[in-house]
Amino acid sequence: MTTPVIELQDLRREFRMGDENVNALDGASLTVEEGEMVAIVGRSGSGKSTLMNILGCLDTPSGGRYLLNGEDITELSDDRLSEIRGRYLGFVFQNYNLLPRVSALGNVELALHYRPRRGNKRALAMEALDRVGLAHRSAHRPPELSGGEQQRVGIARALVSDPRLVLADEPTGNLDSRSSDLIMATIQSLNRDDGLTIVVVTHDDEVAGVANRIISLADGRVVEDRIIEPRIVVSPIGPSGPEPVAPSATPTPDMAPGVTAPDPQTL
Amino acid sequence: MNPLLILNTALSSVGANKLRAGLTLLGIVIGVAAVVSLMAIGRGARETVTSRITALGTNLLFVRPGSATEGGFVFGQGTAQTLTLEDALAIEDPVFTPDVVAVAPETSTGLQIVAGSQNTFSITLGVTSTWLDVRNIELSSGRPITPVDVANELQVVILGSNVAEQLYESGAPLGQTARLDGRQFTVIGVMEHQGGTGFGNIDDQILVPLTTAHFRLNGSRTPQGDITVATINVQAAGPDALDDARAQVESLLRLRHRLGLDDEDDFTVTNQQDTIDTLESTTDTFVVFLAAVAGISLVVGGIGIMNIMLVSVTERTREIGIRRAVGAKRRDVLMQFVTEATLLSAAGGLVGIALGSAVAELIDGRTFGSETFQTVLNADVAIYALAVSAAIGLFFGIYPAARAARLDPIDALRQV
Ligand SMILES: Nc1ncnc2c1ncn2[C@@H]1O[C@H](COP(=O)(O)OP(=O)(O)OP(=O)(O)O)[C@@H](O)[C@H]1O
Ligand SMILES: [Mg+2]
Repeated sequence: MTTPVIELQDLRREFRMGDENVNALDGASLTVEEGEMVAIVGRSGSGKSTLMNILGCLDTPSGGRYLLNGEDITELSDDRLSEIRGRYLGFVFQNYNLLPRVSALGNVELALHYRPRRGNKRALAMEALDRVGLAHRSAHRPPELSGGEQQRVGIARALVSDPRLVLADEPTGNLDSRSSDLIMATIQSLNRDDGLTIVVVTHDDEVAGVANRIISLADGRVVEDRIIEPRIVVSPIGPSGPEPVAPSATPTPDMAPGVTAPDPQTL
Repeated sequence: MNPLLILNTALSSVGANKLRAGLTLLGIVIGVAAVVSLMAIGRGARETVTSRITALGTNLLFVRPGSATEGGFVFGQGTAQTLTLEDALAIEDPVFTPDVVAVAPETSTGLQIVAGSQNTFSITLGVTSTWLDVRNIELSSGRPITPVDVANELQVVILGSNVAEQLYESGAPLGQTARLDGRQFTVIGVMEHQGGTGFGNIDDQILVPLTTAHFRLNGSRTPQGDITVATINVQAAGPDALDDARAQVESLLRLRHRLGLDDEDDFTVTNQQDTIDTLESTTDTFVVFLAAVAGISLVVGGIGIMNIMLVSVTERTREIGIRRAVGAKRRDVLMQFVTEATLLSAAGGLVGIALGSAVAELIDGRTFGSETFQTVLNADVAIYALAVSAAIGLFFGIYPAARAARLDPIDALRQV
């Protein structure tokens, strides 16, 4: 049997708030094997984001063990953690987290900045943009892109470094259902076609249904863990696939009436 | 992360806010420009002084009175009234001083000189007939002061070129009268323009017979009734005889002044080189002092850079978080911000060098008041200024950069 990508044993994360301790994670244990697509669900405040931050080596647990590819990350230096983030992990954020003054291509290329030179970075970035169907938007800056397009740039940035694990915390949280489907189709395709291991946090049952395993959190613990038959989202885009149907070329955020606007890019 | 990429990133970040970058640079620009132009002016002054003194010839000695002491206070060199006309005549005697070929004593007073409606203040030197020769100064017109003028205390005056220009705009001063201390003097000559700047410029001075200066203007005597002089110019037989001549003058004066073995000299003997050295070190000190004052604005500029970098770090917290998430190490973030600060500051340095050079070029050869500025631009000052401004950016950039690098990735990303 191969080493699991993620192995959590009794993971804890405490936050001190004044004299009070918040146990955001209170003994969470789980294992994710290579090639799985896992959705993490749970009520607000159940510790999903806290878990994702630890999985992404952006935060360290206060107790328990986290083995990433068999490597105990609690013992690693800050430099080594940075290296792991750059080489093995890809992040997709709810608010996209793109650099507003840099082109889509530049944003994708950024994920290749902090690693030893390997091939033509620009060409790799272009390839990744093409993979999410945005090659024709490569020169646009984030403010000139719709929310859905921005998120696809975010996905391209996560996949360009050829990671072993992609982590997405509410990737569709700011999008309407149509762009949401497009995003999930793209992410699902990374899993099904490229064999990437993916962990997605979501509130949305539709979105969770795209995964093949759903883990429920409550009060910082795993309360349910089940394998499901994934809903296959038909992707209108693929590797050098046709033009996307949903987003228009104009920089209007693609959202339905009544849906809150995406986070303005404040960077 | 390779250096080119760091530089590129820094350039685009700086370029993203050009107005702010420009304003931040201003402090450094002004500081560097001030240092560069002041150094150019200082070096120009130094060259002027050196060349003017060298032009006098190198076999001159200057004897001046020592410091006066009164109630334990020591006054500056030349304040005592220990040198007399008799001393000068004794030095002239080849029996005591075989290596001396000529002697020219002088007295000195500041006086208002009036001609018609014009007047100016000038240093009035009382001199003898040998003075012009010893000091190697030619007349552009007229005649020198003769022994007859001195013997008869005649009221004649030779003008420095600037004085002549100021008093007689018509340009024909010879034979005209001028009033000195209420007395009528006849202009008998004008000295050739010597050039140069600063205090003691002969172009701003006038010459009268020594006896006239003593008896008709405000002369001073020793308690014994001897005529005191301010300086005795001594011309040695040649540059090689300078040391011997100096020793002879010194022992003669010690004898004449009845100084015991334990007594210090009550006079000083200097030569051209001493004068050049003192003046150069004086101008150097002055220039370094001015440059240091200008340097303070460099420090202020550095603080400006630190300030703007701190703002930048705060504004770009999320960018820092994103970079950390895609693999940037703490030192990558540190490098990025330090490079930005250094780049800003060095750019300011370059602009400052250009501005300072332009200012120096502009005032070169121009006259302000009675001073003609001569500036000398050197590459070493420019290189030094550039290095200093880059170092300032580095120094003042480190703290903001360290703050950026210290940010936890997760805190940085959470920032709205
Ligand atoms: N930095 C922090 N300091 C203090 N408490 C925190 C911090 N981060 C999270 N918490 C607390 O930990 C608990 C879990 O938070 P977390 O953000 O993981 O929830 P979540 O499941 O992602 O919720 P949501 O669905 O609303 O995003 C919450 O009670 C929260 O208040
Ligand atoms: Mg959350």
